[in-house]
Amino acid sequence: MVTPTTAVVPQELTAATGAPTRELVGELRAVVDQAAAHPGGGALVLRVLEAPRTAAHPSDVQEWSRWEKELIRLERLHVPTVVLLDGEITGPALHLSLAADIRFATPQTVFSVTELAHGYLPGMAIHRLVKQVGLGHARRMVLSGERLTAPQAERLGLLDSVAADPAQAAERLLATRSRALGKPAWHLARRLLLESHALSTEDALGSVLAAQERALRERTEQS
Amino acid sequence: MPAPDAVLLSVGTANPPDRYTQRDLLDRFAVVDEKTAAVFTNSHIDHRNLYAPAGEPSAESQQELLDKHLQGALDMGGRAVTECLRAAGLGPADVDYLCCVTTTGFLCPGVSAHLIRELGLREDVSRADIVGMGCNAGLNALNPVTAWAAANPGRYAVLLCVEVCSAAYVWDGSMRTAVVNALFGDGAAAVLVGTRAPGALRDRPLPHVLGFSSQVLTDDLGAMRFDWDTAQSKYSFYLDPLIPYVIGANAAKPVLRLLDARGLGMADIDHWVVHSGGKKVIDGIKYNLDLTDHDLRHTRSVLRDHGNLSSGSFLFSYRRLLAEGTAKTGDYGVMMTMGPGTTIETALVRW
Repeated sequence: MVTPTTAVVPQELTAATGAPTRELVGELRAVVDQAAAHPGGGALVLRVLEAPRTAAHPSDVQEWSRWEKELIRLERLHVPTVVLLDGEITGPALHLSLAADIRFATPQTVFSVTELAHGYLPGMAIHRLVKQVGLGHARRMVLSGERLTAPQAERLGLLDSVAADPAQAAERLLATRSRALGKPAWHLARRLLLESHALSTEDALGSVLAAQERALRERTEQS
Repeated sequence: MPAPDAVLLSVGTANPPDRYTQRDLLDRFAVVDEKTAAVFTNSHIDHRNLYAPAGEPSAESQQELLDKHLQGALDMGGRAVTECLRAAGLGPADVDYLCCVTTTGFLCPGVSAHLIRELGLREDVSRADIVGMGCNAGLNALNPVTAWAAANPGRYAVLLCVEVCSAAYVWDGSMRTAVVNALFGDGAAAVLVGTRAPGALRDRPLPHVLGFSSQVLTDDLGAMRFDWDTAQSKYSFYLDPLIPYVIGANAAKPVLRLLDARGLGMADIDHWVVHSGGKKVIDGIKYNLDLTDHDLRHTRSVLRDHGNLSSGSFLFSYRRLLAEGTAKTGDYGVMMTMGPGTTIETALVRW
């Protein structure tokens, strides 16, 4: 599942269209646990499959909270995370996509937020959507129910690229970026990117300098 | 039979009654220099409790500062110890050992002797004073205090960190003194250590102290230090601007040693109790240990509400962690302080 960049073997995760079920939380936890125990040097590639439409809805907020915690663990993994997408990306599939570092999708992939129609919230997807595509597009998707096609999502930066064979596209990117991906500086950059929205320039400068000091030192130590 | 674990039984804190925002202090002392004002307002400190002088800060003599240190130490120190004992359902007569930590004033006899009289502790109480070790000293003191507690099962030790930072400063308009004057606050924190929980604390999850690990960086011996300022006839504290990087670059070493010795990894640590050294030092720790803002929430909130309280800071964070009620039996915690030496001190605890 966590594999060298030259031989990407996607891990399959069937994301129900309705809501993160107890089974899905357990499945994601197992995937993240396995990746967390990996010494590094590869990437976690998740093929997010559209599950048959079910009537599953979250039973309570604790169950939802467990799902959000696993997504945050995924977002902070010490290996880069890649998602391969196809079909209707809603609910847990959308949540997973938004928490991944690198995203590829087939041309027929469509993104939408469906939770409000069932009377509950898409959770941290709201927060991540605003950070990633801005309030304007997030508002249209969340409140107006706008469906985003793969080319639109690519233009907004939600996708790395649209490809007939996402696995192949991912493999190519992982190979060409192998000098940077998953390296200490890459992790610090990912962290600063995720934190950038919450910081004033003065606060950001302190974070950037602390991270830069570490990156430069570890670069010297390695050479 | 192995020695029983020393346990952190209760904690108490105290500050001077008067509380100031950074803006209050700039107004009070009529600071107009923009660079000095920026040091105060960009400090990520909202409030500090201080024994601020009534008049010109530069007018306080060294003798007045020494008097202020003793009075402040007895006022705050007394209240912190009393609160700590009360939380455990104990009183002054139950204390068998008192260890006092301070850097903001030199006294002979030490704070411990004054406090024994002030609080009416027993005449056979054992005592020690740890003086001049700076912000890290709380853990330097906790190490022998836990050893004493483990060697004297069933008896009670109190560790008091009391720092009257408003009694150790120079106000001369320089950037060197502005950085210090914008950062430090007055505060005292006491922790009760023993092997057996008194009745009032039975069945409560309490942290056992499992070990310590130190990192002394003698290449940076001069990075944090007191100098005697001949012109002002006062001690002047110096903080090197590169301290955040020195601390950041070395932060992982004692922590990994502490964890490796027990076969633990970073992911096993549930709670971080880190000294509120300053915004940049906290960032250095955060990005080098890969800690989250959640891990450092109490470290930041104590900095925001009190400034850097020197040796007692980490116990203020510890108190907030306990008040939150999130620590449960089996959880691991790392305590971490840094200061002159340059030194990073760490302790591993388990609830």
